[in-house]
Amino acid sequence: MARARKNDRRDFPKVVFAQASPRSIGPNSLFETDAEVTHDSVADFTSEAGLPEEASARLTDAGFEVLQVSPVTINIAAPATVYERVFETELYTDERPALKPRRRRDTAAVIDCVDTAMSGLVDPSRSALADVLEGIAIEEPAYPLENAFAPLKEYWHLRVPGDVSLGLNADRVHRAGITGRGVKVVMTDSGWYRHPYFVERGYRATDPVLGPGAANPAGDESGHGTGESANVFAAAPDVDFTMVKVSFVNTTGGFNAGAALNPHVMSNSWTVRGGEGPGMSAAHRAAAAAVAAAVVRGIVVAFAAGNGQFGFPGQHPDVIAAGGVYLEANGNMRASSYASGFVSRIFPGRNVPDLSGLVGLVPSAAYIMLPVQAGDQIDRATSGGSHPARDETTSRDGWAAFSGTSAACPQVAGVCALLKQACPRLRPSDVRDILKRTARDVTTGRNAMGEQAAPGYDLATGAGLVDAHRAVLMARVRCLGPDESALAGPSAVVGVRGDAASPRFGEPVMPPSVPAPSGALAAEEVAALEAYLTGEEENR
Amino acid sequence: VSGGELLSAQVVLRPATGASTADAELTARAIERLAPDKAAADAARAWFERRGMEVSEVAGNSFSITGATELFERELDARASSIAEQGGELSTASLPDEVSATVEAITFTPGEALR
Repeated sequence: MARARKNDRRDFPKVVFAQASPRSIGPNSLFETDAEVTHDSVADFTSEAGLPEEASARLTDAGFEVLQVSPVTINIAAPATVYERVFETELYTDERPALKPRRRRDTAAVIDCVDTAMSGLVDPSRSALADVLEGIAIEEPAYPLENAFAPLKEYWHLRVPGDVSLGLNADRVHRAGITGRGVKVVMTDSGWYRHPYFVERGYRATDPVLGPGAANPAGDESGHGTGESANVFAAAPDVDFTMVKVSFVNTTGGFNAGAALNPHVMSNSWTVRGGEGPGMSAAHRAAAAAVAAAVVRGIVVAFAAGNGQFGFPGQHPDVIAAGGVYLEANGNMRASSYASGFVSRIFPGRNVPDLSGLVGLVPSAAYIMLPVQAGDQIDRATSGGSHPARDETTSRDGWAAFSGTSAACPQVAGVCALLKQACPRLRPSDVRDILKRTARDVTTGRNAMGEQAAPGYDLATGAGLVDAHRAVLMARVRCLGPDESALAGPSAVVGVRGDAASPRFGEPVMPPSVPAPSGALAAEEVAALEAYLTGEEENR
Repeated sequence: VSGGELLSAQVVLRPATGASTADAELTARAIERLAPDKAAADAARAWFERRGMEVSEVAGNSFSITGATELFERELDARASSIAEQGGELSTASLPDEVSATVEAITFTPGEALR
């Protein structure tokens, strides 16, 4: 079917890809409209021995790059002008309807040929290759179509949000109406891709914000930030979430960009190099000051403890340091062999972690199936192979199993958001205290640094696995007592000296507008109730 | 900011008291004592802006500067690209006296995601 040529567009990419079909051994060409290609008939569309190789050689001589030779077709690539010269035809581009990622209906530029009826078919019959080829099918645009449903795998792993929520003991909290609503959580990481998993669940996320030196706000080339963010939503599905995409040359700049958004909670699953100490570099000092300035404004700051490293600022005295606990299929808990726990050599008296989230085991911690941008670094790096070294997913399916304390940190941050909803006036130090006092003690296993878990606080898991249900109960009890945060007064404000009107820095972060009772109980009564909740009463 | 690969670093400011942060406690309870002088910080920020860099607000005791690698190497330190890869501080030799009196260090803060 010849097409009108006067309006044809020629917006070709530099290289046009196609599948060339050597003449089929059966009665029909691959491109005859009534030719049905099934497993029963595909043999008819293969070629005589030697023909694909001859066709490949002649295509190469004609100026095409041969990318792959299969039993049925030859994958070729060349500029559009090469196709036109060799096959004595004319190509054009046409905008046609296309279903793009996230089911977005749009158009896409399709390359077609002026003198064939079948879309994308080039007829070689007038060319010097007519004796070896029966047709050339130009590739059409293809888009990764990630699925909102995670792939099913047979090895033991956790799925989001359900398994992670259950592991954090957050389900009961959610059913009580504490879901993080009204609480703003900022995560600083590699970026955030709006995966269908997030869209179809209706999670609330603003467009990512670029930290200094970062680029491409809509993409996450790594997949780390996208995947780990699912842990925040598993713990607190109704938070208002923002990702700050960080340049890992200037992590402190990225952190400050996040703090400037005035969140209630920040989740940070990264480390500055050199946290083993003993001294601090200028980079460490800048990072430490940035963390301190955020915390003094009332921002609850969570950091990953590390995956065998001395995480920094994960060891800063003001942060909530998240280590790792492995939850087995039978419900038993043990210290994750992948997670850090250590005595800081930089901050005297600082033990890391404070408590733990859910983390897998060595060698790869392939433990939580998380959504990522199809074909990104993590999707490709974890794909194939067999568990536990790999996750057994494909390299472009938009799902990958991974964890690390990078997963524990947003889980803990999500629980922090639950606490801030339950009791908005909680200060960062209150939140950490509650989390540590209500965590589930873990008494077996060693972490990545050889620390043995034991009854009570230890360097293997800190206070143990975070328990959202007990933590929220304690937060509610504490909110019934006197408002001690009011005593903090002006000291909760810090800024550049002389900058009294600074709107971005120097203002305390206000809690979400959730009414909270206070003063119903005396401080002693609150202390007694908290002791009862944690079992400390029995040990008195 | 346009052209070339982007670099970004933190400019660490001296406290208004003039003391060094080297031995200071960098925690929430002490950070207020490290706040830099507002006028001096603004002057330092303006100096970097005039050199074509994107400059952030001051947070804690530092602000970020962002620009193309060539800009960093021309205006600050010819080794900027390699220092960014390895981590470390840029030379402050090119800063005028009134700025260097305020600036304690210009440093990359390289990190890695903890997968």
